[in-house]
Amino acid sequence: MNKVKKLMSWNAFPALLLFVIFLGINGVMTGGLSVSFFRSFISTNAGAICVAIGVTATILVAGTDISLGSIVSLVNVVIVTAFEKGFSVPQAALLGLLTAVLCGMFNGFVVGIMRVNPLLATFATSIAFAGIALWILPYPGGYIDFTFGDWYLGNMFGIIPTPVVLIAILVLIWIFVMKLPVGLHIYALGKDVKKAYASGINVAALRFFVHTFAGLAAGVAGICISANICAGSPTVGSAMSMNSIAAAVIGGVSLNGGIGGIWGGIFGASFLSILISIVVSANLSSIVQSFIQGLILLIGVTVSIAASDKEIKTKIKRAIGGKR
Amino acid sequence: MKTLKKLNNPYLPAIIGTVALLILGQCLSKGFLSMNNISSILMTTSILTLASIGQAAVIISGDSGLDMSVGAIMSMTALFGPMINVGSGVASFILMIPAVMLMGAVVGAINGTGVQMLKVVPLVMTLIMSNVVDGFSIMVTKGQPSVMVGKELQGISKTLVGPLRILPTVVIIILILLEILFLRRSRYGRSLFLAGNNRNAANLCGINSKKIIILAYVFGGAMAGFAGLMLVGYAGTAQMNMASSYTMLSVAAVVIGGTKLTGGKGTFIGGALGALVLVLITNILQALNMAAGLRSLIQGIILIVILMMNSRAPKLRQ
Repeated sequence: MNKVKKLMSWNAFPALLLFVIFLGINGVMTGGLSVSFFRSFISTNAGAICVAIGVTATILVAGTDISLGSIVSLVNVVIVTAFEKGFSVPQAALLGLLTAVLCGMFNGFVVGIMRVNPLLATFATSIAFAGIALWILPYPGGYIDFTFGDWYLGNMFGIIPTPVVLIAILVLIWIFVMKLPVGLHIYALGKDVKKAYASGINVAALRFFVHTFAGLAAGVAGICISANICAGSPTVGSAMSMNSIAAAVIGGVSLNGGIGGIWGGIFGASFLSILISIVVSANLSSIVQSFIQGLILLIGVTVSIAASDKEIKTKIKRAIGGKR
Repeated sequence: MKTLKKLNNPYLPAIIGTVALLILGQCLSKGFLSMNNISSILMTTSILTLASIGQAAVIISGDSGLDMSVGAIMSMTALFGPMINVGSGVASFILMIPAVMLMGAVVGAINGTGVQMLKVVPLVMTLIMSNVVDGFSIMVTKGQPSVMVGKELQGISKTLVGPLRILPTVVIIILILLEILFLRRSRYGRSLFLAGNNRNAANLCGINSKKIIILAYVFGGAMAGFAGLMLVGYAGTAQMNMASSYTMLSVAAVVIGGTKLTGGKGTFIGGALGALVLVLITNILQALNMAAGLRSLIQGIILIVILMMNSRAPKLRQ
């Protein structure tokens, strides 16, 4: 019973619940859930989940990062171009990852050391990164060897699908960081910058680290997406940055910082992805799809915020419980 | 001299930027300072200015207020506005303006209610509303907009008033009137500043800060709606999501103009100057005939440099 209560009060619980409910709806609509559905679901949406992990990390220190989508596009373009220039697939992928980490470090420099507002700073860098992507590859095109796609859609260590391993690497890094003192510092910084600074936390370095981690996450996302589509497009990630912020918020991560966790981002992104797949598989005409997606998203965010708001919670409890 | 100093302080970076960019533009490509080019720059600037006025009101309202649905509202009214047809061209043009402002105001009202009543963070609330609005535009136009822009609407960029085209002239008048009569002198404007500065103090003074802030979002939506109509009048054709870049441009314009994102401070005129700087950057890069990607890269870098010089947060150690 205690465990149930603990689960109920978990920040990411509303997102998890929404995800499970919509997974059920999807199962009913498509006639049962199968292993192959999960496989295709995770391989299509691993990119979105990785980006949500990255953006969650930046939101936890009361920042944001809206340049991650551009970084994903840039990684995709770098991988395709490097492969066509004669690099092998692993080399190209590593090059892409390195680019993403460098972009993240640049964000961290502007936000952490130069102290520019994170929203504006990453908006400016997102224009710059998207510009580099468009400069390298002006038109969608190019291809990557299909062994890359086979590796991505296959298994690692026998049974675990590769995208799951990639996400797990990010999660493990983050859990490791959380075990260190730095983990506590991140939450302290998110709660109150001035107090965190006064207690001797290196604010600039922490912001720098968080944005670098977000860059790394975007790099992994770029690898996932490149492997999934095996082609290049300079605008492949442009819609991802905003969606990932919405995902984090649905997952109970407070935009004021210091509340929530990485699982919130993961479940929020999963919910958004399943929502899109439901709306697509519902045989609605494509014209209404995006409107309905937006409406459900609006309801989802409102519900998850209302669920985590103590004032509203007590009101609801009083209304239901009566005297209790 | 003292008043000049006082007046110029927040605007100074934007003014210096404008002058520097004008000189740079003339050096890089001859004919940059020709009357024709300047009036086309002012034309684009005035559209962005309209959007940034609304954005500024929302940002001033404080509590990390931000309107990310500006671009979506502009795209929507650009598609729907010209559809209004009541027979005569002039009458439908006159009807269009309140109609698009109403459309924007409705979206703004939903934004404000979500932010104030449901306590959704502004960034997320307006972001999701922009998804909803975009989806709504697709639904109504069935994804294939066929917009006929009437002569009267196109006239906003073709009619001349002295050396200027008519829209910049009107916008400058609107801007100054709003700045002085709405933001500085009116009871509402003062309460907006107070609510943005210190919510509790405003409530203690008997100001209904919730209502004030919701109205700021309504105003922001209405201005964005108007800007969308002007955009389609200038462009002559409408496409889906044609104004989506205006969202962040309007935020950047307001910030370059000296308004802090924390709220409680700011001016409309600053936003206009910021818009001028942004448009000048784009215009110069276009005049140089660069590849689209390189242009966007340079635009981003210039923006980062401006932000680093202009809007760094104060040091924590004080």
